Amino acid sequence: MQSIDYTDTLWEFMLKESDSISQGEKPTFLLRPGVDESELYYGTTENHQLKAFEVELPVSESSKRSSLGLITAQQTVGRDEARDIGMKLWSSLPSDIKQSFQVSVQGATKDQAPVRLKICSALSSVTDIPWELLASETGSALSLHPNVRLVRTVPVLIPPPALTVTTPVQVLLLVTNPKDARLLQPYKEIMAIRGGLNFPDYKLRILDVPTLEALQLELNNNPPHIIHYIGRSAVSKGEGNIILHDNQDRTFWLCGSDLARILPPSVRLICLSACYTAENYRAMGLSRIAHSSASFQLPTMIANQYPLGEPSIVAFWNAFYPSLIEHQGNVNEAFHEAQLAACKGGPPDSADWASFVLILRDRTGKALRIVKEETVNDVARLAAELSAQVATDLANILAEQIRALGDNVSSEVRKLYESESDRARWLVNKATNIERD
Amino acid sequence: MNEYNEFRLTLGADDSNPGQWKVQIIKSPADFVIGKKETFKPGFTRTQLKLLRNRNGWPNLNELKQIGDTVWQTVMAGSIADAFRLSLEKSLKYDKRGMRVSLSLLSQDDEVLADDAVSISELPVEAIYENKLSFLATDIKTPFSRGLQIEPDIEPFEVSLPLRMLVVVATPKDKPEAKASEEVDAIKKALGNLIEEGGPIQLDFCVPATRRELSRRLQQASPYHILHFIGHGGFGIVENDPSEQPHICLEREDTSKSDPINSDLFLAMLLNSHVRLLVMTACSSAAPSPDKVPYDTIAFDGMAQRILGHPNGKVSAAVAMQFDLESEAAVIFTGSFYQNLLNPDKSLDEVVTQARYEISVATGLGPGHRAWITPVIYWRCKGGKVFDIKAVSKSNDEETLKKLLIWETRIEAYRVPLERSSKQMMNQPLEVRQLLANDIRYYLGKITEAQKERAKLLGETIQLWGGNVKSGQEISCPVILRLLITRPIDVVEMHVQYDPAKVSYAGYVRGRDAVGGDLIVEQKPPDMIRMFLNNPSGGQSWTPHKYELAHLKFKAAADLKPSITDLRVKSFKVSHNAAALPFAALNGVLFIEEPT
Repeated sequence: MQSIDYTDTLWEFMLKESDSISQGEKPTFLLRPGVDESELYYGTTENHQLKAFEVELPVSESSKRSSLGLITAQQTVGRDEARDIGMKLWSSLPSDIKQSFQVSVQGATKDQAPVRLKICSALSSVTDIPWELLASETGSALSLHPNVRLVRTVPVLIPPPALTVTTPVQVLLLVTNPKDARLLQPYKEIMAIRGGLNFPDYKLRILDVPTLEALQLELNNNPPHIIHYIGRSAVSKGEGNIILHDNQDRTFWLCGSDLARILPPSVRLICLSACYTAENYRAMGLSRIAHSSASFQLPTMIANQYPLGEPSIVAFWNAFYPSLIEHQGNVNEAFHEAQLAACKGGPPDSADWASFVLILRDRTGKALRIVKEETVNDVARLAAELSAQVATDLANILAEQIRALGDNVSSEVRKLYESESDRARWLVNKATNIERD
Repeated sequence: MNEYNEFRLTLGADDSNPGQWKVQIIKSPADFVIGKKETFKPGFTRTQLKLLRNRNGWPNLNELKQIGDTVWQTVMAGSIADAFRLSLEKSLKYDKRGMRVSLSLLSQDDEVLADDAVSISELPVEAIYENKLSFLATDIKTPFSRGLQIEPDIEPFEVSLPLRMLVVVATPKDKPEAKASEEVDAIKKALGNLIEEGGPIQLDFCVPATRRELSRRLQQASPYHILHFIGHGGFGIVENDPSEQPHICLEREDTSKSDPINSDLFLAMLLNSHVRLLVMTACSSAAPSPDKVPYDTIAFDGMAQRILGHPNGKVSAAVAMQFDLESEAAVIFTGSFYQNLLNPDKSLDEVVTQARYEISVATGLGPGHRAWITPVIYWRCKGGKVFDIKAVSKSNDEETLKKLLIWETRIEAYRVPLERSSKQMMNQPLEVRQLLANDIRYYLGKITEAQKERAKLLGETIQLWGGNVKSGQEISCPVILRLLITRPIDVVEMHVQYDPAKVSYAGYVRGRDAVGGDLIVEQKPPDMIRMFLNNPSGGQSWTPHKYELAHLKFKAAADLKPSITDLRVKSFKVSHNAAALPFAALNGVLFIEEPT
């Protein structure tokens, strides 16, 4: 299948700097439209010259403190409610931005250059908003438009090169069911996502005892390309957590930074599925983990942002995994097709399909390049890809530090950043050229 | 620390009696001799001076003693000799102190000399010999030095290490052939470990040795504290001044021939700089210039006097050579001089006396060799200290803290890819692992580089070194004490924490430099080691250097995947006289490789 390029539009949301919010007041946000993530970094463009628009987002009044967002995480969302939310979101946007976006969409032709709308913010009050519901004046959801791919992005300066993987793609499945919480029905949970993971395209391993130690051991001994987590999630101190087991099979919370520490570099996609056979603590935790700071080396993720039912889960994952193979690892396309499948296969009165969120953490959504046959350059290419990945991680961490420090950054840090980002680009280029050979 | 009384004399020409000199005591531990003076006809002759300058066979020991005795008769004329003996006896026996002898030379060297007479500055004071006291200038109890003022008048210059030193090696084409590279090697050899990365002296060379480059260097933003000129001196007409004057020879930009710089121009250059110590030596690799009068090295002496004599001068000490100094002796002198210069407890005359002593006892120089007489020191710095050296950078100042943070951030930044690279190596084919090993080396190199920069800022450190170890094997990690100034060390104690899941403690051995005292290393389960070392320097002062105190051995657990682990210095104490010294500690990092 031909590789798909996208026409990217990036909407970066910030809190208005001068806005001091007292209790009960709504914050004012700034929306800065741009082309892609590179505009957010030092030395890459004059990002400060980009125009920013004031927007009043429909977040709850308590969002500054609890960051819960528009809807509570304990409820599923009905289709009518979803349409109202989507239109409300749309109406809150400046007309210049809406117009510009609509022009781009109309100009795009399906399968050639779809418009990829990237929502970007460091604020959980923004990322908690179900942007996937965004609907135009007519009430039609933009996510489901054939010319639109609506994703979130946690920006990185330099995208790592895709890791070339010859099928079967290794998938590690984690189903957690600690005894101090309401018990899931693991078999049903597994079966709901299992349908698309067919051999010979995928090789599935299931971790029997999902303690942190067992997970670390498994990741070291059998590094997977995809981790699929099914279970509950929680929010602590604003951070999302997934639930593992401790040594007594009780609840053990794992946050994004700790997850990043144990991941082998082979993992290019994490899918965080909310369980459906038992009530969740707070499904929003899954999406929060996926939006963790860019300084944690986490891969691109798919997460649920609110609870949903079995038919939608089955429809989504049954479509997603085969589509990922078909699109040679392009998560944007597989996700879009799975959303459409969930919309079609889910209950007619629900908006379960919009519970799925794609959060790009590699800028491209193409961190895997899935092939079916080995090539002669495998060893050299693999070494080059791995080497470039680590180099881009370093450059991205430094870029993040500079972004955080702003004008206070010293010239030494800038020099380091410049030399390491040059090195990373060179290694990415080298890896890409080997791929082409 | 040696404590000294001072015996200070002025020596000058007696204006009312041509050809006669006068000497007067202006300071003494025996109050009643102060003010004594004598006028006399100097007995020291040019013939004796020529004997010292002779390059074709220096005087034997008896001849040296005769020369030294004549110097004694000259400086300690008449009643001055008894006053000296009394003062020395009081110092050594009753005050239990040494006695420094400072000679203020008050004459101008434009006097008309009779045949066979020498000028006051030509008198080799440093050769002074008395039958019972022997050669005084090599005895650390009686350091000899010269001054041009009646009293020292410049405060020590406060400086944080490293001392910045500029060396000019000028080898003009029209002078006796010299090899600049040999000169550079000689000075590097002499300075040894002092100039290694992060060491107490930062050494730069002025290349090319032209007046423009020297002027530029002396005015650059990072100031030099020491200027060491190696080259040719001379007497002659410089530019439009018809009178012959001492000068040093730099190189012309166009022809590489001599570009004479007279004392006034040199002084002007130095007045606009931060140089506080000037050292001038002849090229050791050059063929000797013809044995003529005036003798070339006297030019250095003349330059030193001019520069030290300026009322508003900043240079507070100058070391010049009054005779040719053979290369072997020059290396000994330079090494000893700079190493002891870094001792905050030593005054400059002690430093030079120590260097004389080391030259005099060095093997291979031959009996009666007068090399130790050669260095002449002029100083006007109070307390005999050119620099008030701070061993540790001002780690509390904002600038240093910022820099430290930068290097710490860099170390942390590079740890991430290092850990990820080592993770990546797992489960990969051998060929891929081999290719990725280059990345590991790259990131480790960056971390090491940042650690070195951090160590520079931290000043004096105790460091536990890490390294590469294969899973299941042992590694010996040296504990290194890095000193930037000379001092004795009484106690070193440190606690090291390790990760017992990755390494286990496997014993210790004493380091090669820990000569004295007990070494105790004990394990404090589950993850700590305590090392205690009593009196490691054996009661002696240690000069600036890295000292290996011990080796702590660790064994990497079997079947570990590639990974890194820290050996953390959790607490430590380095002390002298029960007072904790301002040291910093550096952790070790182990990279555990997979078994072969």
